[in-house]
Amino acid sequence: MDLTVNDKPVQLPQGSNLSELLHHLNLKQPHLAVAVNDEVIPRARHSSFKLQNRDKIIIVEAVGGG
Amino acid sequence: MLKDNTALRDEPLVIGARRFRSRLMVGTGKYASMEQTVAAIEASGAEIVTVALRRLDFSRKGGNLLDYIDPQKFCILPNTAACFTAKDAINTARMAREMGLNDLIKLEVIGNEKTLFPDNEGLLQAARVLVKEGFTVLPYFNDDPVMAKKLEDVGCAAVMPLAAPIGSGLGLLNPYNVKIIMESVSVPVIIDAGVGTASDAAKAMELGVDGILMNSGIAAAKDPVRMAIAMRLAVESGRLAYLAGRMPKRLYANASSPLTGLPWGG
Repeated sequence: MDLTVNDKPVQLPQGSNLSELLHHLNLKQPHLAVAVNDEVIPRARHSSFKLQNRDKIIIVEAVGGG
Repeated sequence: MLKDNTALRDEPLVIGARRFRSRLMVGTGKYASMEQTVAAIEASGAEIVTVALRRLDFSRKGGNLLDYIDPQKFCILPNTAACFTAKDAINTARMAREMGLNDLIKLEVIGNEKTLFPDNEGLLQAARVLVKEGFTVLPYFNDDPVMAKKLEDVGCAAVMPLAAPIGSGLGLLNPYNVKIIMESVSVPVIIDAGVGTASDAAKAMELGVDGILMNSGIAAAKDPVRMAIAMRLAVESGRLAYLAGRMPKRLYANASSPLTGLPWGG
């Protein structure tokens, strides 16, 4: 299926979940947060959250700010 | 040196369920490098450190900010900077909590791009929702006593009036409003934004505010590490002066030396 992650195209097998996406992207930082189609997905639901074709995923991190 | 440190004794700053010794909170924006960020933060003695949330940059080579600023050592305070609606601020706060750090949020709902003044209506709306969701909400707002009370009433853990516009470095523009805010609420009053140099920080603390949050005042100085030390000392000295209680101001002179027993006097 075709997804976008922070506006970049990413392909994953049908039925993949959010944890599998993060693993696929090789993201090891502990403090990331994820939204799918503008809905914030709690960490506890990442492994049960099934992704759908054309889902828009946003991944955020902490950056410098005041 | 003092023989004992009784005179330095102070209550902790209490925000929600947390207690802090430092009354200076610092941001992490505008620094030249991660190394400079860390050096300035350590020099400031701050325990609370603000961060922003942005889309993960896949092209970046170096580490993430939190690889440099250890969340075990510092209390990370995520902000909702650059959110112009309550909805965006609420979603950003929810994202912040999912980073797995804590439930604190520095709530900003901006109403105008040029002044970065808050949108009071959106701010109050977002504060209400986030408090209900269990966040410890620290709102940035104008130095408006009526708004301060409303923010306290919806359950904010502190109120954070600006001293002057964000990044302006103009110092505390309306100390009288800040005094009224202190009288209007029982939660901590923390000056957020507008402090430009050490005397600005000391003057704000002398009023009796509970703490100061600053970013540009340190990061935009020519030597941020030196300024971080200056700000730490200013916040401490302003706090001590507040606790000590200043002398009354007088229009005319009042001699410090005795006016009697003068050697050549009548």
